[in-house]
Amino acid sequence: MPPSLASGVAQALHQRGIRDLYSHQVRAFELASKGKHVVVATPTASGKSLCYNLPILQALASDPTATALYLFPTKALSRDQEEALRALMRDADLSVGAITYDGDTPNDARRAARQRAGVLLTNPDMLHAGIMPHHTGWARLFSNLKYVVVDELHTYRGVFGSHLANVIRRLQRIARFHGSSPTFLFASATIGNPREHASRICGEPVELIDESGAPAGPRQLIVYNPPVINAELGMRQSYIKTAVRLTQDLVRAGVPTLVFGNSRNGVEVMLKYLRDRLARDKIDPSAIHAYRGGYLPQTRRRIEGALRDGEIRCVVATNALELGIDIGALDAVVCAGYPGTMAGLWQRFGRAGRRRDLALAVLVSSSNPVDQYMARHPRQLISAPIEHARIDPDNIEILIQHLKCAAFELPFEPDDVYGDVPDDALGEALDYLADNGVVHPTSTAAGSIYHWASDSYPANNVSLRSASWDNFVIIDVEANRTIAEMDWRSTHTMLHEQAIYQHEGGQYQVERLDFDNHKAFVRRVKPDYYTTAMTHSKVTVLEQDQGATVALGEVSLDAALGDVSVIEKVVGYKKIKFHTHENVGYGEVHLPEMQKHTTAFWLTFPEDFVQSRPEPRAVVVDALRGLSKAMHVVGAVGLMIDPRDLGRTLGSRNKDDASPVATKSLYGAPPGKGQGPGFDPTIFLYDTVAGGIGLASRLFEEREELLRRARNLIESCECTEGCPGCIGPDASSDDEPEAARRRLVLGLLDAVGVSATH
Amino acid sequence: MSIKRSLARIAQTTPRRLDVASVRGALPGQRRDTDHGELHLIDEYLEAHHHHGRVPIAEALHVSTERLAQLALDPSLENVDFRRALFLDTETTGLAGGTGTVPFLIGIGWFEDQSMRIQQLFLPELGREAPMLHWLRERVQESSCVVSFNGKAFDWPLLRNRFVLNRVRAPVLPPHLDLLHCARRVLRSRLKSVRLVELERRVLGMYREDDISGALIPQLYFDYLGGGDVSPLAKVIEHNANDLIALAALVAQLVSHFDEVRGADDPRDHLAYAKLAERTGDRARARSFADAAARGGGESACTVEAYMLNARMARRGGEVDDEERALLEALQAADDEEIRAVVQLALAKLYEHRRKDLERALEHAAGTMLAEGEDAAERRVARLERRLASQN
Repeated sequence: MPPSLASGVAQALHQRGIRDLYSHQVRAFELASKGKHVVVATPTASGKSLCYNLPILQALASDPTATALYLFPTKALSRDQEEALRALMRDADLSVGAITYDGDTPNDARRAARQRAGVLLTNPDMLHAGIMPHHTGWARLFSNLKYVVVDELHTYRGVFGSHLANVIRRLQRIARFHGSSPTFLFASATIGNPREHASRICGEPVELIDESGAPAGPRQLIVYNPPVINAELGMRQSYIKTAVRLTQDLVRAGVPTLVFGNSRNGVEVMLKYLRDRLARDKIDPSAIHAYRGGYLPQTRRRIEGALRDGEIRCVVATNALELGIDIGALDAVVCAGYPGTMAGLWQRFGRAGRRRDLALAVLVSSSNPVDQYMARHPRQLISAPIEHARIDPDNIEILIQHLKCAAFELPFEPDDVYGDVPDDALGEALDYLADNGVVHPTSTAAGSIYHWASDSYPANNVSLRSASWDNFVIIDVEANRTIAEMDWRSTHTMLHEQAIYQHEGGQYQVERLDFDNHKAFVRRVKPDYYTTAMTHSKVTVLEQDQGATVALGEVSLDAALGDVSVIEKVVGYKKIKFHTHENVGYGEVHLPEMQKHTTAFWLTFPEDFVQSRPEPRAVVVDALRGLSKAMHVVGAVGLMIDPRDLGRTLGSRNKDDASPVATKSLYGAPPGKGQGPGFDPTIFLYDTVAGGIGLASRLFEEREELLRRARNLIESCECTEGCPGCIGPDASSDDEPEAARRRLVLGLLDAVGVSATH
Repeated sequence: MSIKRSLARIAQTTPRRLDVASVRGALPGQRRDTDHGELHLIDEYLEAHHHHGRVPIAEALHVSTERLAQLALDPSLENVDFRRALFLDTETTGLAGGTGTVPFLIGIGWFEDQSMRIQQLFLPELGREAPMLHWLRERVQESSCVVSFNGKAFDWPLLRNRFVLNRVRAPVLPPHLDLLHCARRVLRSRLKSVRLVELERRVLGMYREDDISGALIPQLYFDYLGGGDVSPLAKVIEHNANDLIALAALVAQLVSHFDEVRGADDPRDHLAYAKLAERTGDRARARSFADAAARGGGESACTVEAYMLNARMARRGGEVDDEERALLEALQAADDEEIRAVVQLALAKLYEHRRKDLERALEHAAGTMLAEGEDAAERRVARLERRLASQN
């Protein structure tokens, strides 16, 4: 125990049986007490919350007017923490309280929060839209603000993280106005760059604590690659079914098990299979439960409770459980498919073995290329670096939105500071807003002051979570009640009409999708199939920012980096039979296209080169599509990112001859197959986040290495004709010799002078 | 992408801002130097006999503050010197609230002898609020109370934000009379809308000519900031002055009609005043307004409710005869099964408990089903029958 610890706080710890602190907790306490920003990145269950709670309790004990702000990514987490923190504060004899302030807080509690709370627990969205635009009403909180806690730092990556960094920039401005300068305390699950990430979020240097003093039990890691069932096509047994079989054995043996799937659909399919199979062993279906983000809060609470009490023996989840909700110890974790990132995998594996006993963590690899890469290099799991959390707080779309909110909160003075945005860039951005009439500049001797000058409340138009679209509600027409909500982006693929929507192990068919009112009407059905959507995307170049020539051999390629428009459209869906996974039919989908602007890296193969090849043009184009797939795999692995953050397509770099979005591709031929001669086939790899977060530019910089690594991947693959692990299975029709395809890709690479790295 | 380069791209197609050098007309009012900087002030007196619609506004000077406190359900207004009341209304850059909404015109008014003095503080340029706020602070501190329309939820929270943002110490707010809530309590039963313009027409008999729509006001100010024409702002200033005058007229009207029963008023107003009096424990006033409402020839529901209120008052005063009479009159006026059931339930209780007249209680108990439900009604009848049987 640090000697300086207030006696009340020490007493509260004693009551909890804590006599000694772990070394990392002591270090966090000492650094935070000195006013240093700290990030704690120790494993799950190593007592991270005490790292930030202790210095705050100490501050409140010595100064009852001091305040602290806690940010959690979800409402559920703040509620969980509120209970524990309140008890701790009470036992430490503190006179101030802790209050959760979010959309569910009743009015009188809101007033109490403004007037009295020593600790305010909330989420970034509420801080952004509900608190900061009214900061004058929170003057007490802001003028005494000593600490800001950002828990679950690893969840703030990509767009969400870029938004959070801007929310923090605004918070710092407001704190400055009220005369305070809070210390930031971050807690993170394992990521590759906790210190850099935390310091990018708060714009200042941060001290790192990543060595845990807490004991941990041994853990067995197993990578299970389902057996090959068709060597020619590189097809393996279904990873979903394999994961179900392994889980079934564990549950039968009485081992509490947590199963992770990567999609909502996957989770529901596994739940159904598990319940069906375990019913034969007389295991009550209610002992196996699903857990995912789309559930309503009451449902989630009930599941968490039953899991703690042991009524539930197996939980099948998407990543909702990654968010640190306390569900007690589980002995085994089965991941059906690699979650896309090492950090994500370790957060799931961290759920196994919260005690000192032996724990089991299994990864069942799917046929996805990255999964197969992991299965072939299982040591990667323990030796590979963990991904970096990447954000770009200066992403122009995000920055501009938050500058509006910031101007609404406080006028921008000539010497104003907005995070680490350089003065001249800030000035230009404000001039841009002035030109658009949303801020009004007034001149003073020191320079312009920019005042908000619009009849609107800008925070309401900025959603931190995605590109600002609301959730859809899913209504069961028979029971006439809302059964779940879904984010706008998933709607296209999950809730199109005729889709089978899976919920708590039951199947519903979407009867009507009311796009304008954000409602999907579903009816319970008992089909023997489920559906998966087929999407197609088209990329159009808006502007090239940088260009380069890749001249490794006799034929040179044009590489470029620039801004593109990406249009995505769901063109149809497939019906997949349960258990056999046969494709038993197709249907069409009519939904609006989704468009976004982002940054892309592209690589163009000159049409002359394509024409000069002996193979038919369509075969060459298909081979290039295979190459793009391999580049996507090695690009995602190389950048250590979730492959879904990187989009891929083959098209044309010229606007005029861009192929139309294919809608007639349902019955065999891949989209774009009909693209006629006369265009230069171009491989596009782009940031899937609107505006981009810098992935494409990294690929552009490493373009030659990227091509070499793609060649490596293809050469080292065990398949003969191309498999999902390298260039993808052959999509061409039967009359073309399949074996030629892989050789053709390698031949193309020879022609442009790309040799493997050794 | 660098910020500057990205900006350059998205900025290509955006309009340039207006040229600030373009000619401006003259705003009403004058600049005035104060200790805290320059102020733009529009300052005027109304004549002593100024009427707003049919109401002489000087009547506001003579309102009973006891009645005022009842009307507002706010005892702190009871002892204020209403001659020192400050009328307050702002025009703002929007209705969203929060720190980015600016009151660019703060209208205040008070009485000097029989005349109303109106001062309007105009913000000639964003960022120059401090002199206005100091001026307002002094006026508020000299006043006995503040009178507004929706000022509790809108104007005052907004002004409090401005004090914090401009680091001017906010005045301690004296009792605040928000006429929106008062008007709602008195008039909502007969008016669909209690917006100020609606009240002016229907209650004060005032029809504004060429008034500006509130929804346009923010944009007119932004146009002015951008160097546009100032003449539309004169309309905003006039609109704001009219709102202040309407506050004085409305308070005079609402309070004087509560002070004594005026036979010509709508029975629904009488009923609303009776309820207010009942809530504040003024039983005599409640009874006289309820009498007026019952006899006002209004709709049956209003008449019955007035009689029932009267019966309630009589019961609390222990006046059984009065209670019985009021309930029987209510029963006669009721033209609806459910309302009849409510009246009969009250009668059944009166006869059973206070009159000890079980037979008549039983007669009325037969009709209470719609008011208290089938089971309760059956139990009541059974109990009365049992008690009757044991009596005989």
